[in-house]
Amino acid sequence: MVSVGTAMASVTVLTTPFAVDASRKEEFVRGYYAFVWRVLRRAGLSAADADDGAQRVFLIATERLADIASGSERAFLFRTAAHVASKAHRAHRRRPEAPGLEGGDTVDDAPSADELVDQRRARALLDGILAELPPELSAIFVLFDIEGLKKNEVAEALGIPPGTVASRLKRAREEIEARVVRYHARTRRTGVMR
Amino acid sequence: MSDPKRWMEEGPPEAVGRLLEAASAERPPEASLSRALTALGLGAGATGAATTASAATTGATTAVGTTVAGAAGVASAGKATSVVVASALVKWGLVGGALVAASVAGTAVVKRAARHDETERAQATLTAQAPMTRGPATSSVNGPLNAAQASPNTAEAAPSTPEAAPDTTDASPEGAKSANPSPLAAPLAASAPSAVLHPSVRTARKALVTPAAPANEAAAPMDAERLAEEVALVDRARGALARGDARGTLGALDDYDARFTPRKFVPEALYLRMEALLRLGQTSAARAVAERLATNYPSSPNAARARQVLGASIP
Repeated sequence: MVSVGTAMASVTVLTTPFAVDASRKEEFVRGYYAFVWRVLRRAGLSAADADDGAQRVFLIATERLADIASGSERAFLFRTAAHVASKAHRAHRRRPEAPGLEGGDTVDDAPSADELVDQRRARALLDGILAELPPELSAIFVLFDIEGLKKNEVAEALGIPPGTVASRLKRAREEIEARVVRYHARTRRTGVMR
Repeated sequence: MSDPKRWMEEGPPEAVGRLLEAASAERPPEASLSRALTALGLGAGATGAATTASAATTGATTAVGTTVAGAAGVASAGKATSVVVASALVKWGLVGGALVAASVAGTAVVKRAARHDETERAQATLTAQAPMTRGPATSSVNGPLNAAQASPNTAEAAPSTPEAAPDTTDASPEGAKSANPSPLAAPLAASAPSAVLHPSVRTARKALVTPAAPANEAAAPMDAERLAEEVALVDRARGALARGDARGTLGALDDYDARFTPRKFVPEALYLRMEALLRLGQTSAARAVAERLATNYPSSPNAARARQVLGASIP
């Protein structure tokens, strides 16, 4: 406890149990930024909104860094991201923005221009499919099959028993595969790529 | 039971594999990360934040300016996703939201660049933890607005990075943005998650989540909402100041003073008012505000700047 005396009054201030230093925070942000950003993207945010959302997520997370147990970082970040994403949605509802550069602001590992476009189209399709799924299924697919979290991490992130992960994952995959098949059948029939 | 294998490892159908590859390949642009670090007061951008901050304008323009501009083949893809965005976002808020909501209950999230200066950081930390307010009693919520308070230096290293603030009417897309604590947060601390489902999904979904996080901050529902609004207003003022719009700053602050009694962010508001008055050349008015700030909130990070303004060196 620290007492700060002034001419006017004596104010007692509580000190933090321990301060998390800036370099640790930076390391944390750098280490998990891409993960959070991608999670937000798969939650349907545009690249610009994912930027904003990621900032919010890390603002929250770095404030609470001391409380995040080692090994639980991605679970915490996912929950925070989901929370932030839902608020971004509410904001969007009030102020609809023109769908603009949805894909123009991301970077791919693939170098060629053709592959670039293909990958963006693929992500657009994926995001459309994910949006149709019940949230527990899209989330488990993103966490496990895209981001590669372990079963226990996934369970923690979603607040479900580890034993249910496998069956839920299976359901998610079935739903996704069905929709992918349906999509391609549709486009073949109509001859139009959407 | 061991972990299931990732789908990619098991050999998914080709069409699915393409989606997985595309998803895994996506990366945020480097500029996105550095902006985030800057906004958090970390990384190389932190100390020289003034210039980089001004460059970080609206998310859209920044993103366009700094990343791969390949909008060509994207328009059609863009349309596909824009319509379906809404439901996914809300749904995921339910998956993760309840879990984190309790833990962020009442946490006012504002993007600010905290300076590296150790003294100020120490001060800021102290302030954040202090239940002190000489003003009126407030909710038990702590405002990280204090903790993350930018240094008194007006470079205001924190750009008001654009976020969608719910009810602001300001014209500029840059202003008045704040990251609000969720209105979901507080009710969840007290009651069953299903009670706070978004109306459109309330019928569809049973509660998927367990309120696992302990609700450290037991803020009443009204307080969290109210805090969010206060944050939004103060943020609007801050954004105006960062843009050099001193009159706008004062307008937002007057708004804030009028609408909220008691107010949580008194020292912050005083600081912003002082700076705006200085910008307008109203030195004696600024000094008067500085006096109030230094006197009533001596250990606030803002007070150091106030003392500068006063030209005094009160400890």
